[in-house]
Amino acid sequence: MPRKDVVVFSEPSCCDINYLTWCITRKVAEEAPAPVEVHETDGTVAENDRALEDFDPVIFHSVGHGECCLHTVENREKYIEAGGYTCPHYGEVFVCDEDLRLGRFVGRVVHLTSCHTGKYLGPELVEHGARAFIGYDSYFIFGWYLEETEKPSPCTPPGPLQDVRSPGDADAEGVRTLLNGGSVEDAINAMKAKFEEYIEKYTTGEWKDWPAAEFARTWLQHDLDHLVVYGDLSYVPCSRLPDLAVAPEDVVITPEEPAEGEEVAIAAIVHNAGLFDAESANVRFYIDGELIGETVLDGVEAGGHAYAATKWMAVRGAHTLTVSVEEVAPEDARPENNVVEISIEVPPAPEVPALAPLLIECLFPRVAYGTLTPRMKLAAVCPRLRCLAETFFCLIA
Amino acid sequence: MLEKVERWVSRLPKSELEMPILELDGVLYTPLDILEEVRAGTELGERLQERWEELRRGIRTLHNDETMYELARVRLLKRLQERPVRIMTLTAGMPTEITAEQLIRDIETGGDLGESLVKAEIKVVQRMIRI
Repeated sequence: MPRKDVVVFSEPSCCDINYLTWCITRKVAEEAPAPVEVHETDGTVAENDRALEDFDPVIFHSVGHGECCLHTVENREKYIEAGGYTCPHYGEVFVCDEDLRLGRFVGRVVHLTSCHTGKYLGPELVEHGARAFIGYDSYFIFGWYLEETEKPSPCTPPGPLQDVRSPGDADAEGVRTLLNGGSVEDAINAMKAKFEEYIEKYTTGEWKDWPAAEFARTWLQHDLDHLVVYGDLSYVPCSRLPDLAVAPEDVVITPEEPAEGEEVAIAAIVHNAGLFDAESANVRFYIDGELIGETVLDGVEAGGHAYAATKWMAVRGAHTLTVSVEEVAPEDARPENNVVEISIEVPPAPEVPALAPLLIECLFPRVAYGTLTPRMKLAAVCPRLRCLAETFFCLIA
Repeated sequence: MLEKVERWVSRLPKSELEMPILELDGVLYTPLDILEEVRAGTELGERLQERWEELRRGIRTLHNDETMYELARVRLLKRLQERPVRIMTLTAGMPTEITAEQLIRDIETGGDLGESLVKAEIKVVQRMIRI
């Protein structure tokens, strides 16, 4: 059986495929959660074969050109083929005459980003043991531009006259969902939702009056209508993990600029950015690497958050406060967003000047003795106390 | 009732205002045509509004309606002629880019790509009617 949590991305560069691989699939690969083992190939036949052999991935995602019975990779070389089919389209007939690698995907989820492969090739792969297939049973329109403008370069963001990103982005939502612990059905639903999101942007949203919007709505609708899935929809190829995260803006220090000797309250909000609940975690607070406090979290729901807090007696000097989310159970999907460091500068406490011995002179006469009030010396006291004392002594004098 | 149509027209993308969106007795009407007739309180306006309401409520199923196919085809051709666009696809047996001229030809001759795009356009019309 293929290895869970392992994915191979076949990423050719030729023949305009780089519009999808350079800017979209590479990003998905980069953002894969920690337990997922990601392997990217240059999309050549040899590299893909080696990756399948060496890594035995549970997910094979390939961007290439397609026909109803064929998927090609770098340099339009045939990679997967189901013989015995003909694909009549666009005034031509394409014939598949041999079976190629159909049996290499037993137990795997195969996601082919190419035209037409969902028609016959996808069902054939599932028939030959693939766990599931995701693809398109007609043309996959991955970009467009008005002829009045230049052809956009790969990675150009969507704009008034062109869009070479939105369809690929909606397509990539599928594998992104799988890598984050979603089932095949979750992946399809996420792709559909993303297509809908873009269609809405072009229909009622901020892009609706762009000159190319009137086409964008139709092309995206077309891709959405031809997205197909076969096989075991309930299958989950990657671990279902939470993603606890803390960012600098989630940490509140009170007072913001503590003085030496002052008690400082430190609070942190820990978010679960993942699709699955965390059962428990420890949030530890360190000053200059020394543990000063800890909060045990009893579970954080997917999409939810929890609070952690501690106190610290400010010590003069420059310090680094580290808030670290540790011992997450089950294992955290992205440990790289679990730690945040914040600099704290504690100035020396202001010096209280020692008061000189005070001479209080009462200017009104002491009636009882018929003399002036004697001079009195008071020890250094706070100004308010001194004033009270002065008044008191003067009155009784 | 006029208010309802006015509100609908105000929500539409600008490019839709002069694009045929509804067919009645073999004639295609744009949102601005419909608004004008409803505002004028004509009998045609009343009928157009009735048809518009039916479509909004999904009483007439667009996919089984041949006239809807023709409407969507006309819309796509008009758009491609007025503002040519190129699409990029991942088909093995043909170039990645398809020009507006090629798209127009495929739609006019009932090719598989053209037909597929017209069907998608029918759904876009449905979305527009329901805005």
